[in-house]
Amino acid sequence: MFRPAAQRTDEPLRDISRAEVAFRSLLIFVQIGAAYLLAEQVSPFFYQQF
Amino acid sequence: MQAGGGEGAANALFIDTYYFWLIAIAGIVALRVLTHAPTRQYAWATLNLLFLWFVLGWLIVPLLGGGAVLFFLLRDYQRPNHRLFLTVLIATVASALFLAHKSAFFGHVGGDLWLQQLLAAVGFSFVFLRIVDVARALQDGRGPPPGPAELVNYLVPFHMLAAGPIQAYDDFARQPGVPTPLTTRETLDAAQRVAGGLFKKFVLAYAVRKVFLTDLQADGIWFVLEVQMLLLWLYLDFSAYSDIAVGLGRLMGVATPENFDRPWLSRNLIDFWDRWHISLSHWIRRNLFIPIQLNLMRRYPRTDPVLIASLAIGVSFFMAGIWHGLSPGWLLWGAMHAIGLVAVRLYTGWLQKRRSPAEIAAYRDNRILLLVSRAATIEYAAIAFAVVFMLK
Repeated sequence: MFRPAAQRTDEPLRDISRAEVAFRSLLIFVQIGAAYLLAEQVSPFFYQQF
Repeated sequence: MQAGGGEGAANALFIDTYYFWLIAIAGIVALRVLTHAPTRQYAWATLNLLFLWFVLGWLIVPLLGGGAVLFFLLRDYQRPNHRLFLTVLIATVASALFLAHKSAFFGHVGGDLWLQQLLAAVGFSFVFLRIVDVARALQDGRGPPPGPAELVNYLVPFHMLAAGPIQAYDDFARQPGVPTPLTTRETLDAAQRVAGGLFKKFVLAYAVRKVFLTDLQADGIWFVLEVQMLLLWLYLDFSAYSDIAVGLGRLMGVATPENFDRPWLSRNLIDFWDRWHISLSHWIRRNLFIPIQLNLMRRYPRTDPVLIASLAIGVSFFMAGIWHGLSPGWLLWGAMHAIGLVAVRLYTGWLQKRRSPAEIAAYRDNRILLLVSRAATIEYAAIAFAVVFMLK
């Protein structure tokens, strides 16, 4: 049932500029931050666990 | 209040716990580092069970016992003369557990609610559908029975536990033992799915609920607006869970199906069910609609195929209504979708009989008609959900 590993030969793993990585990482950080701050309103248990 | 996926839409389930994210990080690291397929499968199963232990505590013991029984029953499917007996046995036990999960009756009769707590904690509605899927795959001889780690990983993947998606067993069994490495762009895309899901759930859905939703207590035009906003809230909330599951699945290299595809673009109800809770509609098609339709066609070969298809749709959505909740609202919701889907089928058949292919193509390309049909479809879906909340 266990299948062998899939192969990737077509493209390099680094396929994006550093600037885009930085910008998109910042965007992800902002979204998670906003969700974390508002999560207290939606679910107070979230904060109590930290 | 339960809505959208049956479970998980109203409150933050699991994704607001520290252990969900702890297991997620451990999963991403372990499942990307390990390149030996069996080891990776067992590591993934260990993490899923660890998550269940966080959720259930000692209640994990009866769950493991039930899982072990299921494991041995599924292995017996290889003996053809046992298949019918096993199918009936698994269907009976799983259905009884499902009813216990959905109805307070069993819990009250038993005098305590531990069974219901257990079933609710593991999102048994979704586990139930996966059990049916794996049993049917084995019944049809579509592959060997799953090993213990595979069974755990298929039935209770921690990231798909709260609100799906419902993975097809064939898709699960087909995935590579070790996934392809992610490129930087793919990693960022997957992380964005997770972050976007969290933003949708905790910011957008929360804002819509706070500003527009009054539990359908509004009057006049505000009531009409609230019905629209209820659907928007359901979408934001429910699809957020799917986004998080899909994103985490990609980061860990675990196949996780898509569940939504811009439902506001649906031009009719058939199209709607290819865009809303896709994994459920595909499950219904695989395990209810097609088997019922084929069975009826074999038994009654002279009956009108449209009548048979209509009956199959009716039964399928009656069951889908029950799956969502044992309440008049969900039953009416199922009936509304069944009637709507039959109407679309009849209308499509009528058009094809009376119009040439060129005329039908022109009809499909008409932008005004497209706009009207999209609005009518989404309105119908919104009213069906509002009925659920009004009759809850």
